[in-house]
Amino acid sequence: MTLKLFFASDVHGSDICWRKFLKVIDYHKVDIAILGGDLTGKMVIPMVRDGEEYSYHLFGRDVKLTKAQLDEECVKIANSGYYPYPCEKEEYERLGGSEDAQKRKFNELMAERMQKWVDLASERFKGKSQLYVSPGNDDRLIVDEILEKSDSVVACEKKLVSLPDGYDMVSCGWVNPTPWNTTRELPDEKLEPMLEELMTKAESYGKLICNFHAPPYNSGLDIAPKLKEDFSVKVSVGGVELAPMGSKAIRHIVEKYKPLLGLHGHIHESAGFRRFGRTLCVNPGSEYAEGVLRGYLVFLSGEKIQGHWRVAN
Amino acid sequence: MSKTLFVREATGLVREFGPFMVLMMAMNNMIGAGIWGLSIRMPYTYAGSDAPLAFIIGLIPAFFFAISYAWLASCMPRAGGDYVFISRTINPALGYVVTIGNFLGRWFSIGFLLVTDVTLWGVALRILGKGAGNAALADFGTFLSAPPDVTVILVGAILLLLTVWFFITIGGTVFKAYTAIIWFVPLVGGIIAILMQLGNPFSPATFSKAWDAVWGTGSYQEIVTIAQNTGWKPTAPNLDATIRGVAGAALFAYSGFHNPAQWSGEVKNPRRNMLVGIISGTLITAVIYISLAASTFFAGGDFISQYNWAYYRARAQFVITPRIEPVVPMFAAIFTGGNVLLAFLIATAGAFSLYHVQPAALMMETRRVFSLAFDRLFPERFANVSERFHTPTWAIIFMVVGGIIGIIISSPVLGPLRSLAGGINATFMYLLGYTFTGLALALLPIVRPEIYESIKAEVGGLPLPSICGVVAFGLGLFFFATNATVMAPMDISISCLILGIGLALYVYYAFKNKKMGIDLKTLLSEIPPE
Repeated sequence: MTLKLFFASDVHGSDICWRKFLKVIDYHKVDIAILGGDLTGKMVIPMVRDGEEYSYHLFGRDVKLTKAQLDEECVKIANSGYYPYPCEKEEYERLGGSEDAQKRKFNELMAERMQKWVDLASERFKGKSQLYVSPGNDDRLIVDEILEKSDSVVACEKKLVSLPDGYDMVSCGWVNPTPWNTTRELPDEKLEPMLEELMTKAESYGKLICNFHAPPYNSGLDIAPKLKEDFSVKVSVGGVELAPMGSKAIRHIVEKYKPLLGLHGHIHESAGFRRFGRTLCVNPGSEYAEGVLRGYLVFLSGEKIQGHWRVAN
Repeated sequence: MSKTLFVREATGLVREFGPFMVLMMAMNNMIGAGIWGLSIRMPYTYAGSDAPLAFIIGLIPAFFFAISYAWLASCMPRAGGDYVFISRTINPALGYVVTIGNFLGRWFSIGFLLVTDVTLWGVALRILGKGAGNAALADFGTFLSAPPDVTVILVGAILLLLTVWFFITIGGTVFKAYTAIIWFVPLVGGIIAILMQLGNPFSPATFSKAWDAVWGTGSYQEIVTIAQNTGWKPTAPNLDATIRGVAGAALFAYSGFHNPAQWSGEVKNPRRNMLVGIISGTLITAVIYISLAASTFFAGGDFISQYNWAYYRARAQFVITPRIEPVVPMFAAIFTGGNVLLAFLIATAGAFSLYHVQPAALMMETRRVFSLAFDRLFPERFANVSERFHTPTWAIIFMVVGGIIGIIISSPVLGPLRSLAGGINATFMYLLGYTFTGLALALLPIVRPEIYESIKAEVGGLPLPSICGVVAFGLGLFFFATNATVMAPMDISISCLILGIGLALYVYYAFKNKKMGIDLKTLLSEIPPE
């Protein structure tokens, strides 16, 4: 018996990527589809009304549009992972003047999209256990609430879930510290005990999948540009300076327990796979802003990986 | 107009990548390929061609190729290069075949460049030795640049390749220092060469004196006599030859512009900086190329043609003159009026230029190898990354071994077999890549509109990227065909055979993956989201 699974990660609010994710099972003829963390977007795009026109700024461009064009433009922005927010000038100024108001607006828009996503999933997957979704370090806790209530996706965060054919999966969206002080960050010394507790839920590790958002440290799946204090990329004549940014805790866990498969994301630039003994770790990378759903197809047979392919749909 | 974007505190979107950095990276990848060797040989290779004009004309297709790559890479920053652009937009089999052709073209290009580079290092050391009064060094330089046994060139080129392998493998601070040296020295030396030559318009009397001072008393007259005795005549300039020179030399020199664009994802002002940096890098490189070519022929006059003729037809008759394959520093370094440092800088500029493109080129090709391995279209081993050095060890070894094969093919070691084995024409392969990348850009708004969205620009209601892509495709086809006219029939056959092998490999892997239940078309084609 072969379990065929599809894994993607870091869709960061991209509407089109979610819709593609929902189609993956039919398109690639897999048994289950797993979506790793960083589900929510990074920016709200205010589209300020001025008379009969709206205007916004994105990708270095200033855009003006009519009311008739608004819906289509909102779709495009949502496909890039951002949150379009048509508003009056007063509202725009109110948000601009208050960080708290911005935070609340973010929460509201994130929750709205997340709910829309699970509702879409319900149309085809209600009551089924084929879609597995877990949040990542960038996702606020409100995401967990929405996933838990869904009747169409299996919420996986910090749980052991059973998969078809006797496979199990543990998931954790927490990562080692980043420069951006995100929602789910812990130093490796504290992350490791959290992961250890999660691993004790599994009875055996031969058919265990670890869906850990951060890749193992220095695995080749975690190489990202170094940043200066102002977040600019460090570049020298040798090119962009790179360094491993993954988690040592996750690396220790993978090396200690030797699960069958590691599913990771977090570092968008570092797609690839790496074997740690019997464990295959993959990071599909991410091209969410371009509306491309990067993923990995993995075929499992017993305690072996039968094959794996990187996809870019 | 609302300028504020409400950006979450938890985001990577504040990263900045300035256009100057992009420009440096683009130039680092370009300068050094064809300018120091191919340009000076054009009077022989394409009799009647005007080398500076070839580089001016060559800028037009190069610009459109650069903009195709820059645009595609900026809207698909993590795609992995032209293999994915072509596969994702046109057809995976085509992307695969073009990529295989490019690796193998790169093997030959590595070989050709490093074999020439041994000569350049020999020239540099000879100039340094003579200028410093160190006979042993000068003799060693002559030994390298015109060796009695062609095995010297082979060994020298392989050693140079191994140093590249060493430095890109260890990375880190050492690699940074290494890259800084190999980037700045050729830039400085190239500028000095241009200035020195511009100050010395050709006249037989002054040129011969300067030439003889470096290459031996009587050397100038020896070359002129041999050339005339073996049938050299001035060739009337003709545009046809120049156009062939564009295809065969100039476009080879302009390759390598798009490397920086892979970093354009999730930065603050991505697309503008990338496009500005890559395009300005290409234009600045063009200014250097055109200036160097123009100044060299301005200062060298007909003697350049005579030297080429004498070398390629009758170098066995050289007694005074060292038998050095024509390279720009040979000519440029004679105008330094005995200033050893300047002469050495010019000479090492040439040597470093052919050398410094290798690390960037090797890394670019290994990324192609990676992409194929990830898509299970190449052995999985080639996707392994060294934990210690963070470099793709096996993919680099693959390219180094290929480079050694390219060196053997490019060196005189093979004797008469060289023409047979040297049929993998690098320009043939690169032009294939540029042509289909242009087509990929042209089709992007139609076949992948959601990707096109981020670079959307229109002129008269038509997508500007498509217009540029169509121009790139058309120019690519034109120069591809033109390059083919200067290739020997056997070379065309061998190059086509390589592409055929690429297709056979694709079919093999397609069947192998099909047995596992994977349809290769579905790996890269778009899932319809509705």
